[in-house]
Amino acid sequence: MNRRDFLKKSAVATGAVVGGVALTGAAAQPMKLDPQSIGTKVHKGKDIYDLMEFNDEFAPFREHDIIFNRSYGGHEDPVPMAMASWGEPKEHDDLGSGILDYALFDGAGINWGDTKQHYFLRPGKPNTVDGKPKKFKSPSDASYHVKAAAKFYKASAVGICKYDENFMFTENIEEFNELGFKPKSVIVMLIQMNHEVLRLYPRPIGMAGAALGYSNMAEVSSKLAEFLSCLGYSSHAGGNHWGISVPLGIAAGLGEGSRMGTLLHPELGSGFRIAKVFTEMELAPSDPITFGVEAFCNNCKKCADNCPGDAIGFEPKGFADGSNRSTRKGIKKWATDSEKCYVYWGEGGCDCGRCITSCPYFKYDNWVHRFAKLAVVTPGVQNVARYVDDLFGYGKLPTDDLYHEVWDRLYEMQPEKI
Amino acid sequence: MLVYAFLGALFVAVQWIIMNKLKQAGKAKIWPNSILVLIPNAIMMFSFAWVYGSLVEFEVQAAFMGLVTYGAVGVIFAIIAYRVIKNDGKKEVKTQEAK
Repeated sequence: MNRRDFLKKSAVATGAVVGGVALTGAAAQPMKLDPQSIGTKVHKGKDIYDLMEFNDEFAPFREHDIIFNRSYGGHEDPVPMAMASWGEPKEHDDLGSGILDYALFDGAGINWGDTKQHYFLRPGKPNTVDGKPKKFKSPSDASYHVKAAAKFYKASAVGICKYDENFMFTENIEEFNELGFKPKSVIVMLIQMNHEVLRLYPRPIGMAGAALGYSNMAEVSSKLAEFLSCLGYSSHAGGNHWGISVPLGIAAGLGEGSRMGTLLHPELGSGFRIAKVFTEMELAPSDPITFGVEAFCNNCKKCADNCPGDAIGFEPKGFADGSNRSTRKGIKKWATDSEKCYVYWGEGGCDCGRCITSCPYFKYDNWVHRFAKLAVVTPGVQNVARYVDDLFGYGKLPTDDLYHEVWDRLYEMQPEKI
Repeated sequence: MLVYAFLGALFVAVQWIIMNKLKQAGKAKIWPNSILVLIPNAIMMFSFAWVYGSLVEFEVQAAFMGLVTYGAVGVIFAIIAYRVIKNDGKKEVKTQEAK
């Protein structure tokens, strides 16, 4: 081999290694926590009122009227559902609905908290020098450190919005007054649910993914509330309770409202739970984002097609007529029929979640789907995205093979790498 | 990860082998022809990577649909590249004969 050949072969070998490493690196890229992804538009200096439409019927909303509270009894307008059978394993061990699967669910939800999810109530426990709260250089600096702490506590995504009584349950505003502090900011965190287990919805084992999400959100939000309390700012953690999660998530720049009524995040889809921390600390709010959900949901309708309870409509966004007291009036949105949804839950004896798992945004965060997302934001392609999603077989009902595969994957799960 | 590294190496190796073959065949337009080869090579490797990525997700239908659609595009480009390079050779021979 002469010198020329040696140089050429060395160049090829180097190219091969670089090519391989580049591909490997692309595949191994970790999940981005901020939704600054492809096609996402950040609305600087805007708030939720600039992005969403409200009419004169917009009024305070009672937690008493949310569908959960209408289904557990004692409500003047109850939802006729068989909640007694909810969460009970079948007599025979069907795949995904047996004793093993319900046990996985029960274990996952051990830290669920009580129904109001008060978690650890820490209204002000200064742990500071001279009892004075920690001063930050600016609200932006404070936001920076709070977001970093939230991510350290394992929030999948975090955003901040100003405290707004319009997005609080009316009863809880009073409760806050009794706690003795007036929140100024709300830290909204998305806690990703286990993607593998969630894929098994509507088999009851899917509930284990949601239950673990609830447990984790209790833990993450409590830790963050404690962090803020120790800085000398009264703070309170909350799960579904206190404030209305979806508009708070939109206000905190974490996503857009979707056809299935959930918050849609550009990278996590709707495969997460929403936790909040209310604090008297002055924080710089996040800018709201849009990433084409309105146009996408108008075309797609896959969640509506797959909803076994016919609870998701096919109509464009609109204002609710008030026939369902669990749907808030006065906001232009896609309103799901939560009464039909919960009747289905009662009949099935477990949660459903088919809307979340059939949504084209509910995907693994890997290069395959980042490439697909690149295609989706290309003008004209969005209209056919749903059909391509169907053609490629995404969002199908889980099979028995998938059930076994998920258990294998749980067994082989690797510790998270930093 | 090793699979993607292998595909990356395979991509470079295939490109190098074809460039060498073109050189040995005495083709005049080595670089334009190499770019012509690069397109189907990249698409084919992409489709293999897609298949692997989808199987990792246990999305079997997506894997095979990826192979069929992206692979088909790769094959079409490969046929075009083959025909263009082959015709390019004929033209060169004719030009030399005319001289």
